[in-house]
Amino acid sequence: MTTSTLPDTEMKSGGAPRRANPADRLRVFGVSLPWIRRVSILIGLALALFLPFYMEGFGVFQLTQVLYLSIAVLGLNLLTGFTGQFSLGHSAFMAIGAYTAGIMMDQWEVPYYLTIVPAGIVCFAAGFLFGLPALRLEGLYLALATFALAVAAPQLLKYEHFEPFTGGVQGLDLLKPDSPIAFLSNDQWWYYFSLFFGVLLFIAAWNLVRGRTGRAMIAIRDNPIAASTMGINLSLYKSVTFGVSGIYCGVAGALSAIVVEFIAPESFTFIFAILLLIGMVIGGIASIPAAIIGGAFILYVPNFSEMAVDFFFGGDPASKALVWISFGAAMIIVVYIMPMGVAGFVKRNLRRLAR
Amino acid sequence: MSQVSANATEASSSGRPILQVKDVAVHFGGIIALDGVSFDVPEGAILGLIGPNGAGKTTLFNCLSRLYIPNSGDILFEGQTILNTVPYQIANLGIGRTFQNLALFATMSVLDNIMIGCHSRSKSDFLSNALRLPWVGREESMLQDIAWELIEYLQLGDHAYDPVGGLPFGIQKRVELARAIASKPKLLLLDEPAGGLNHDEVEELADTLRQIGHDRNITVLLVEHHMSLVMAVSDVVVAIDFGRKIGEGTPAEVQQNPEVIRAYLGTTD
Ligand SMILES: Nc1ncnc2c1ncn2[C@@H]1O[C@H](COP(=O)(O)OP(=O)(O)O)[C@@H](O)[C@H]1O
Ligand SMILES: [Mg+2]
Repeated sequence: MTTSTLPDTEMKSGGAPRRANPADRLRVFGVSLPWIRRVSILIGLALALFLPFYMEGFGVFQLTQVLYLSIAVLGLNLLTGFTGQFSLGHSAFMAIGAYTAGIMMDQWEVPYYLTIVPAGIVCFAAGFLFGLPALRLEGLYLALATFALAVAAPQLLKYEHFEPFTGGVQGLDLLKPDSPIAFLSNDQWWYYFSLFFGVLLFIAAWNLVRGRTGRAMIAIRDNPIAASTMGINLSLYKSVTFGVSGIYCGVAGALSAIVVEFIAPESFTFIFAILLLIGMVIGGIASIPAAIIGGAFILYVPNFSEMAVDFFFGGDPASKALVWISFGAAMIIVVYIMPMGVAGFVKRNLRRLAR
Repeated sequence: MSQVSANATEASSSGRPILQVKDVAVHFGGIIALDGVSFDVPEGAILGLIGPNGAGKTTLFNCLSRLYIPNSGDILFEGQTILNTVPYQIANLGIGRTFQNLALFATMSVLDNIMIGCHSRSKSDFLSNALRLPWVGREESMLQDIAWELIEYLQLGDHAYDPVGGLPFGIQKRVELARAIASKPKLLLLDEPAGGLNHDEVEELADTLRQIGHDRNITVLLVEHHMSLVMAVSDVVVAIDFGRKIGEGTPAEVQQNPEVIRAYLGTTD
């Protein structure tokens, strides 16, 4: 059997008594914390399933964008939040995923639903290969190297010799068939299509971080030397985490290409990489559900900023700059009120309410 | 004291050394941290390594965990050199350690810290974890058993779910010990385990160290400043100063050794 590495005969079969986590006994308004967790997951799933029926086309389209942005933020969180490796370059992995899907559909007429897995695989390879040399870099130096990746990606996509594939500056227009299910509008269908991959990837991430691999990832972040002494192969874990992070961004990129029906180099500038980092920090570092909040933040808050600026300074030609200023202000306010991100804020207040 | 002598006879009867340090030298630029140190650690024994601050004890530990590479000399574990082994493989060989200044995973719970100690004894990987295959659940359960047994053994039950970073120093020391034992090492390297502990805690530690040696069949290499502790639990004592061995023998012999006395008393002049 695979677990035969534990020839621990001195253990009694029942093992020592395990104690329950005292936090599990705490109650908020009479409901214990584990039940609050379960109920929130159920409510979240119910919302995810039924929300598109109560929204209009554009609202559903935005929800779909939140989905793939959340997947990308989750991918970044696995690398940066859990393993402690900084990346300012994850827009590049999204670009690789988007162009893998785009080129497959555009050049080889592969059906869209067959492009997601290849995009994930290509980005795993890209992430892993980038992760190998990145092993020598830490902290700010790694951030710089990944930033270079983000800056280079759009330029490479514009490069004239790649143009037959990438469409150069113009990008690629992607056409896709209509919703195959009669009672779902196109927007709803793309939403559920994305939701399917989102749920799979979120479950996989959750499984990953609560097991041996997740402990090793956090150990590397907390104390790499001690982690190595415990037998953790730092190079392997770091580079594979880079690859896994790539899978998430690759799938997110492929979904974005399919859903938006268009890809261009300018969709994947380094600004986008920074937005992903913002989403991760605002949602909550090293938290899985926080990725959804992060995805929603980077989609809706710039939109709201734009609306607010339009409303107050509509006619002013300088109002474009104000959008970024008010986005920045929103960011500062959130970070100030919730220094541990939204997830940390919720967790702390649940504890505070608990008795 | 009778227990100690029983321990010593048992150790010497088991024969070959589990660890052989051969003429190990380590230089940091101009500083000579270790200057050709040699000694053997008999299997099953508790070997106390003493020496004033800066004598090179931690440096030797770092060589044994392959964090440093000696400039010359060799280190044999169970007859095989470990100098060609990559650092993360040292745990697989069966060498565990604690750190002088604590090296815990601060954000993780006591339970998780100890479970990481079992990393080298388990094998689920990215794919099997992500898919949570059935055998992964069984492996987790087994690691939990190991961890909970140690939590009870070292009386950490009240803090099992607390993040380790916020716990009192003495408790963190016990967590680190539990984490090191969790890997089921054949040789356990303890770097000043009594450092920062109060009198009662040191007494408790002495009992624990004897038990580890006996019940769990672990050879212990103990670096310690706390002389009464070293003399009470060690079968053999090696003394070093300025990177050189200045004495070796039973605790009684080493305490009589004039060079050792000079190293400890003469540091003021
Ligand atoms: N990484 C290092 N770089 C430079 N000098 C070091 C390093 N580690 C230890 N030393 C030096 O080596 C000597 C031995 O240190 P150490 O092994 O920590 O002594 P001990 O643990 O016996 O107190 C000291 O002079 C110390 O300053
Ligand atoms: Mg030391």
